[in-house]
Amino acid sequence: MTPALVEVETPAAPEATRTSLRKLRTFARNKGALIGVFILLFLAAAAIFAPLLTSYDPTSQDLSSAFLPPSWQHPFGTDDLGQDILARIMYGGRYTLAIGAVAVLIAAIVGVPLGLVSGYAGGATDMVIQRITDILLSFNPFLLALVLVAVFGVGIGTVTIAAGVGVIPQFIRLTRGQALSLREEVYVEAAVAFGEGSLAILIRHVLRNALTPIIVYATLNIGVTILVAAGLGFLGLGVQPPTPEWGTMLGTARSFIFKASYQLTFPGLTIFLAVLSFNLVGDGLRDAFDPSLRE
Amino acid sequence: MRSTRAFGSSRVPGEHREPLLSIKDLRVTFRTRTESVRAVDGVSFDVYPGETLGVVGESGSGKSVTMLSVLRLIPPSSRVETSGQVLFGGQDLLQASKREIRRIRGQHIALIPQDPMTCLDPVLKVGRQVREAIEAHENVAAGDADRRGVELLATVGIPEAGRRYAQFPHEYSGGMRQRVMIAMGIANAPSLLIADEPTTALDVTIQAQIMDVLRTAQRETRASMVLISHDLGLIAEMADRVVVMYAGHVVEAADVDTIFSSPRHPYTLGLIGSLPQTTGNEKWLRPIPGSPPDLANVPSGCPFHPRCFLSRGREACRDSRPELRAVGAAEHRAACHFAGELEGAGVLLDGGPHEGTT
Repeated sequence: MTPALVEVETPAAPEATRTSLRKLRTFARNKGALIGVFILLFLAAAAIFAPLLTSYDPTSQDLSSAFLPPSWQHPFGTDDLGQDILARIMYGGRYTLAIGAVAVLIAAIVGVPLGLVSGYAGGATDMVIQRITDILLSFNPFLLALVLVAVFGVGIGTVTIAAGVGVIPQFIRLTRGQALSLREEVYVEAAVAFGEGSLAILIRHVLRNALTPIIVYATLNIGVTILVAAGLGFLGLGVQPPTPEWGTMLGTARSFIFKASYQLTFPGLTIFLAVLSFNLVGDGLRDAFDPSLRE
Repeated sequence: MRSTRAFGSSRVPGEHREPLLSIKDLRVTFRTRTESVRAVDGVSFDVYPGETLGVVGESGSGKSVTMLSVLRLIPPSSRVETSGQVLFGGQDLLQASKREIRRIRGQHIALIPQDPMTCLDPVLKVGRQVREAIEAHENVAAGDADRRGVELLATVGIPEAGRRYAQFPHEYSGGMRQRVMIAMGIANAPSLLIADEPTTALDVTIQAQIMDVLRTAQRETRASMVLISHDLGLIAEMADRVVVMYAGHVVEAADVDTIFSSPRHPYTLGLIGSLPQTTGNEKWLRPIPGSPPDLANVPSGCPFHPRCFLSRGREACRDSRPELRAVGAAEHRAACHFAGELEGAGVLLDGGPHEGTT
């Protein structure tokens, strides 16, 4: 072989931007995910700009105009207390969507560090955390939320925490699995060899690399926490009327299901749409980020 | 073999120098349910300040495990048993606390890993990772650390270091990544660099460049270097002294000229004989017959005897393990019962000790 004279190293393609662009494109090509994003944006906008979009006060009662069927005046009709249902749904989004998101945030804040430590440290620490997780997992998340609300009383704060607790073990499991595999990565071992501390490695390398599946998982779970919160409201153990939380609205409407079915239908449909959208978006994110599904 | 000083340096004959790193009777055993594998079995050698020590051997000879043990990078578990001493700066690293060993890693002894493609975190910019290597041992302002990081990248020959500093690892080629690892290795001016097959994963054309970078890095930091390799050509070029390992043992140790001109262990001779010759008439490589032993079932006596052309079925080779002892020059040691028969092995190298075996 003649001695190679070429000293030019082939530079790797500048694909940093290309990669994120491709992820975005994969996501955008997923019609379900796009629809989900639009519905969520629509619901969020309706909640945020409710005062501009409707002239009705969601809690002003007018018994003289109770049980009005949908009309131009009241597109979704009025409820048993004469409150405009559309206005209540729009304002209610502020509670339901926020409770769902904050509950997941709480679950992630508790679950992710536990999972990281569990997976990275291993040994006895892992053992203890995993057994606690197993115990939590052996309860139905809704039942768990129910018990928590029963013990600590109803209220927005309690409902949010109660809805979040049920998904904590999922976050622990997911993050632990990520930490277990990332621990074996050469760059983590290299960081150890360069004398970096365990906490620094855990945050800078392990958490950073585990973040994508955690975000996907969080999105998927907002649907779950919304359902739990709405379920509590339906049973009268969630946010209390007259606060227009969607589940609470369903709970009140239950008594009038034959008299005024629209009072039940519209909040129910909204919950369905919100949960469906979060699932669609979560699936879309997962597909976009999962390298094994990339063509 | 158990001698406290394995051997001195040839560069300063007669002068008694303090070794920088002294490995004494190191043993590392991996246990599985059914067998125990002695990856390192009573290894002793010293590394002196400023020198480059080549550690040579086939895969599974224990060379990497030995050096990983120095930094305690083999995860402790019930399945790994480590004994012996690793003295560095008067401290036994095998007994050091976690905090102490963390301070040693990177700051005093730096490891330059084998595969540069996987040892940079893909989601962090290269500069950030270089900065971390600096900050792991020093309290410096982020701006100062970045300035030094860019300087480091320039030192290891990365063009447009400032721009490259802000790029992600996937924008780097393998050779460039290895340069980054070297930059991170010398970031804290360690007194010992351990390069574990630093060019094995790289293109042949890049190898020479990387070795140049390593040499520059070593000169800049005046560090000692332990170069682990199975590439004798590389060792001949880089090392001052050489330790040859086989099946978890040191089988021969001497300065680099002695090793190549008059090897006294048949395994070393075999390794040299299997080098491609560019000057001679030989058209064939002469491989060592057989394959390295399964470390769970190391042959009795001399571990090399089943593959050895010198043994020829002699009982001593089969029955007793040869100790590492002085042969010829004072600093030349070999672990072979019949090392004496290899006197003038340079002749043998041309004649072909493997004639009957290949």
